[in-house]
Amino acid sequence: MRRLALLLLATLLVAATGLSLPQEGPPPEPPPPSEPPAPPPQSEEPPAPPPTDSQVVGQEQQPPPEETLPVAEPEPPPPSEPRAPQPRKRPKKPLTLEQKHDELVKSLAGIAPKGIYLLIDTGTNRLYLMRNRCVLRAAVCSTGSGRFLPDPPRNREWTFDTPKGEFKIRRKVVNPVWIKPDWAFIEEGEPIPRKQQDRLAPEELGDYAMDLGDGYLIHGTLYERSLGMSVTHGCVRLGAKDLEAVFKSVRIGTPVYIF
Amino acid sequence: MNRKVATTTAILGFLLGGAAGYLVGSSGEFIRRGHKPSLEQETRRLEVEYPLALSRKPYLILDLLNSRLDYRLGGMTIKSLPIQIESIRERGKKGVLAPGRSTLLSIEDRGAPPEVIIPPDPNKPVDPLEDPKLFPPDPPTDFTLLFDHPVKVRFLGEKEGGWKSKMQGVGRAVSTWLPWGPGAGRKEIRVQLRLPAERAQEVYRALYRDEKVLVLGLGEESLTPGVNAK
Repeated sequence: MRRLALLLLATLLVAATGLSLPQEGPPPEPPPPSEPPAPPPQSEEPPAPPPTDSQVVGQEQQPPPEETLPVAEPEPPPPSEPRAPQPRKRPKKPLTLEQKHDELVKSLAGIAPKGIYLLIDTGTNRLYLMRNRCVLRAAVCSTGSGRFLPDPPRNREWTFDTPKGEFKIRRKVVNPVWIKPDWAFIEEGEPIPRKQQDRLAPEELGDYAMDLGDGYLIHGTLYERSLGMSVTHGCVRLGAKDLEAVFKSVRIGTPVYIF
Repeated sequence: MNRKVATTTAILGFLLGGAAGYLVGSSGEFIRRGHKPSLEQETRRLEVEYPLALSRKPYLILDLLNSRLDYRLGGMTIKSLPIQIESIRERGKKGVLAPGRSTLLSIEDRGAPPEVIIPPDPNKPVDPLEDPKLFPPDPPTDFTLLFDHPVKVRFLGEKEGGWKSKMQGVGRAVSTWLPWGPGAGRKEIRVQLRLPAERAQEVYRALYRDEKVLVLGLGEESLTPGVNAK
């Protein structure tokens, strides 16, 4: 009986304090050990914030963490400060003068012509086959005379200037045949023919022609001795060799810049 | 008698001064090669130039501060010509260069009318050596550009070594000092530039109507606020 009473007392006590129960149920306990790994990171993080600030402690800690060194190198002692506000401040803060300057320079560099293109200088009558900023071939050409032809009877007039600006090669033609427009006859004091056949000039444009649109072409000439002079009606004339080289180097869509 | 002597001396002095000024470079005060703009000035210029570069059309930068004319395309210099500033007159008064000032102008006229073609007489054969189709007449060496704002830029092409052009140069140097000289009493800015004749012709040929010209360093006083890129 005593034993029973003692046992009862003991169990009651155990129930009240809960001391002995854990011993009985060790199997269910394993899950808790899995939780502890989580806290360690928590415990590791807190040490990180302390090196935050000005405390020169960071420098003293040099030996253990190598990471602190690069952080220390950039002069601004509170590296954590700019990090947080930066994204918020950016839209508000205008660019500094230097940043603005650098951005503009970059943007301009991005606009500059790239790849293969033609550059035509009407001032010196020179054509340059370019790749990026490099001259691949320089050629003597002829450009617009700038002369003025009136046609009072029909109330028309022409100014024979080579247009300036950006163009693209729209067509490439081998053995082009020129269909002479009205001005070609008016300029010569000849009557304007009615038949198309009478306007054809098969050899006038040389072996190749590159169409720039609006009737302007880069083509060859029968009068190579006038190359280098402003004598054309707006087209760009090239010598036979240069014409062939340029023709073979460009494609439809190649940009042409005339100035 | 004394008056006569004084007047003659004054005239002679004036002419000699003009000659000396011309020989030294009448506008030595305007020659500022190697002028380096500040970061702010450079940024401002780039801001003005950016839309021009985007247009994909060639444009000019008349850099009075560095005495040169740059041909630009998409922000890239494709040609650069040295020039000499002979005079700047702002509304009749002597003008000044203003570093940091950039002015955007558009060409309205290049000053000289185009040559008119006269069809040949079919009964008169044309001498091939005089055929303008093969050998066109030279473009002008002296012309004045007119802009969409009250600014005129005169290009004076000179043949080097000729005594005639030197005398003309002396005359111009003197006349710029006169109160009734070029640009006096006018309501615009007049810039006079000197360069070799061939270069002037080269400039003339390549100009076109509505071409944009960014002028760097043009005086401050005479520009209306709307014109300034500042």
